[in-house]
Amino acid sequence: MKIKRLALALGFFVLPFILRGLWFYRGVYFPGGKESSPDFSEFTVIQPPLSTVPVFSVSTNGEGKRILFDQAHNNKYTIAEIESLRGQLLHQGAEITELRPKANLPDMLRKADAFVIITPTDFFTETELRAIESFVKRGGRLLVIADPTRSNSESDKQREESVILANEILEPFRISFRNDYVYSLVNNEGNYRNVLIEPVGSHPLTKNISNLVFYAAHSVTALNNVMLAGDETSLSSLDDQGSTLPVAAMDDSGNVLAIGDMTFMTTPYYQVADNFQLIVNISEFLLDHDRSRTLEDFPNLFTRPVGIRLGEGISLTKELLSAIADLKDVLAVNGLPLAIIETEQKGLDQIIIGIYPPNDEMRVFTNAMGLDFGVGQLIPTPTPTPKETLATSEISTISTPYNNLEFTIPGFGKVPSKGFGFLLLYEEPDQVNLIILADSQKNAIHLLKLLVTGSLEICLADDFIAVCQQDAVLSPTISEEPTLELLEEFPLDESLNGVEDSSTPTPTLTPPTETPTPTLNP
Amino acid sequence: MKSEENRTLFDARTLIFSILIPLIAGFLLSSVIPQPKIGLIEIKEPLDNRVGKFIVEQIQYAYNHRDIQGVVLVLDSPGGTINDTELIYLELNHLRTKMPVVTMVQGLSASGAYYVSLASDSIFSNPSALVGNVGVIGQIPPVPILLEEVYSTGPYKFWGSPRDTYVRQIDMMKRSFLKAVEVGRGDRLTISIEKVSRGEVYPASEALGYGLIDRLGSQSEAIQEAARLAHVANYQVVDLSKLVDQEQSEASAFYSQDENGEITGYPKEPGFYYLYIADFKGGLQ
Repeated sequence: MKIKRLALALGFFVLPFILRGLWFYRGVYFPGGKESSPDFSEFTVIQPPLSTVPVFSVSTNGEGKRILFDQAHNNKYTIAEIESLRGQLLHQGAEITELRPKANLPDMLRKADAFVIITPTDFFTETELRAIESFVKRGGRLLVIADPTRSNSESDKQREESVILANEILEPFRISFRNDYVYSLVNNEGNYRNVLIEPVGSHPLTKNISNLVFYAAHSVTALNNVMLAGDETSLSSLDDQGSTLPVAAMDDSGNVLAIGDMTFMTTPYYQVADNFQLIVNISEFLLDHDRSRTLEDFPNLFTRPVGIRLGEGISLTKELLSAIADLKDVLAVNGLPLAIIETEQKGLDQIIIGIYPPNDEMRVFTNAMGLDFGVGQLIPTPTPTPKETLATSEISTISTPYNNLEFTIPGFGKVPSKGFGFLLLYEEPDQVNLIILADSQKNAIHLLKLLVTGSLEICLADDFIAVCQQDAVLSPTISEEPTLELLEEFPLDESLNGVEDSSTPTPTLTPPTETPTPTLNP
Repeated sequence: MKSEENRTLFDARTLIFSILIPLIAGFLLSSVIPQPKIGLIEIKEPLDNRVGKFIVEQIQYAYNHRDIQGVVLVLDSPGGTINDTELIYLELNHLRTKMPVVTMVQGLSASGAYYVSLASDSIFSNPSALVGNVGVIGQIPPVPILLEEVYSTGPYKFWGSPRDTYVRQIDMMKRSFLKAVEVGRGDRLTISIEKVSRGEVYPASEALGYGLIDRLGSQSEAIQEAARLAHVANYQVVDLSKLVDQEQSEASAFYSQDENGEITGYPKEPGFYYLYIADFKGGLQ
């Protein structure tokens, strides 16, 4: 009985527990045995694929070569950052110069063999763009590097501008950067924007390269000559599309190289993969060519001491000496001495000044250039008015037979001899020859002055021939008398002793006392 | 007669001692069975050291109090430091061994905030909330300089590692984040992990399609889900932040200020972050 009561008591004692428990709890929570967090120990820092220790290769490939680095357009880099490229160039014997703000780019390009533009953020002027295009046409090498991480990043517009202005430079060469960055979520080097790059085809620029890493790179659009591209997983940030996106390309001439990243040249990234080999190849691209010098390169078209020769009909007057003295100063800037010589001398570049017709020595060069000054066609002249008759008859008495001829110059068409002079550049392996040819001594001096003062823009010129309207800008006062003071100052070649005696021009080649107003071929 | 008296007496005594008293005693003592509680933990600011510490305390409170049968994590945060994010994530995972955790996204669960939500059994979100932004941001320290007056015993004593290593550490952290997504979402994930790594932030409705969250709904539904998973009814909802003795540490500014004194989207302190910047002015990539 007691047991029954105890059981009953116990039951009623437990009942509230059961009821409360059932009121609140309808089951038991089981967390399950599934893995709930990653195994953090499996994550480690992946080290980059280091190349063998880069060592600058020493050679003399670059001796005498000048590489101009743009620092005048608010460029977002320092020379120290690209020490890998700079060091390689220096070890090849090249000379590195910097284009500083306010420097004259066309002038600097005349002295340069290659021009390197890295991450500019200020626009180039029209004059500068033309100078760059002309530089490349003359065989100069151009390297343009843009980088998405090296721009004015304060606004989208400014970031875009850095691409736009780089593309302005590249526009004539049919290459452009896209305003993006290349990335790969799958196959990258430590970060999605550190993309793996592979060479495209076989080219000296990609010699000995199998893998590269670029660190945030613009993709490049080019019709042909893609040099480097991302792998098939590479995408453009513009549209998340892509696959094997180009990041470096050349123009058709092989003189222009555009690369979408500069970080690969900086420390420590140049040590990754084959990046340093690419730097070596880029330095060879910048050095391994001989740029043909053109008239536009004056005074840098000379590389040796210069001798100046006076042709028949040219006498050493005060005016001419003055012009030669100015020329001497200009050449001295490049460390080149100038001397007056009588005959061609080995080891010297030479300037020959003469008047029509070219003498035999000059004709060697004019013939080699395909110019025939010996055969001209008489320009039909209109019947002079009575007022003009006197002047014309006066001139005719002192004019050469060439005064009323016209010459057919390849690339220029028909050019009248009257009122026009020529600057001719003829380069031989061991000598640069510059010929100044005019219809009179006065105009020959005038041409020399145009050359010395860098005023050839008033001439119609191609790379090797300039046709200049004589006496158009400068009006030198001709003094037929040599000045002793100038003669003493100027280091005349001994062979020219007695030049005063021979200064009297032959009658037929004496310049007219009044230069007729130049007229274009009617 | 006597027998009847005895039976009546017996019945009265039985009623009192075997029924009423045990019943009353049982009723009184059954209160040791606590009313279950669903705890709310709110994260509505960037995760930094102060916030992280406070959240961890709330989680530990829930773990140590058996009346707390489930936790609902209410999120409206862009994430924060990697360290504090991981502390919360690991603490929540520990809590899940004892009770269910459900996340309710209210507005934003980005980067580090989404990371901590991965330690929950189910993720609810209001439809217009933003979810995702999986990834890491960080800033490489400045180029080391040497000072005449200051010495250290090794090239990386000051900075800890070469600058480039920071980039690789960021990638390592990204990989662990992605692994947490894989582990946390499991088969529910319908988007490729490669696409997740793009760092996009999705509207909740889209995130639902990708399996980044489980359901669109309200906070009440999230609480009901927590209760359902915990198998409890007639529960009480409690704000755990009010149950924790919070040391009142002074809140320091998380974000930096620009030269005009305006708050930027960027953290004041250098370091690594699971953080959604939402920099519409243009800045870091």
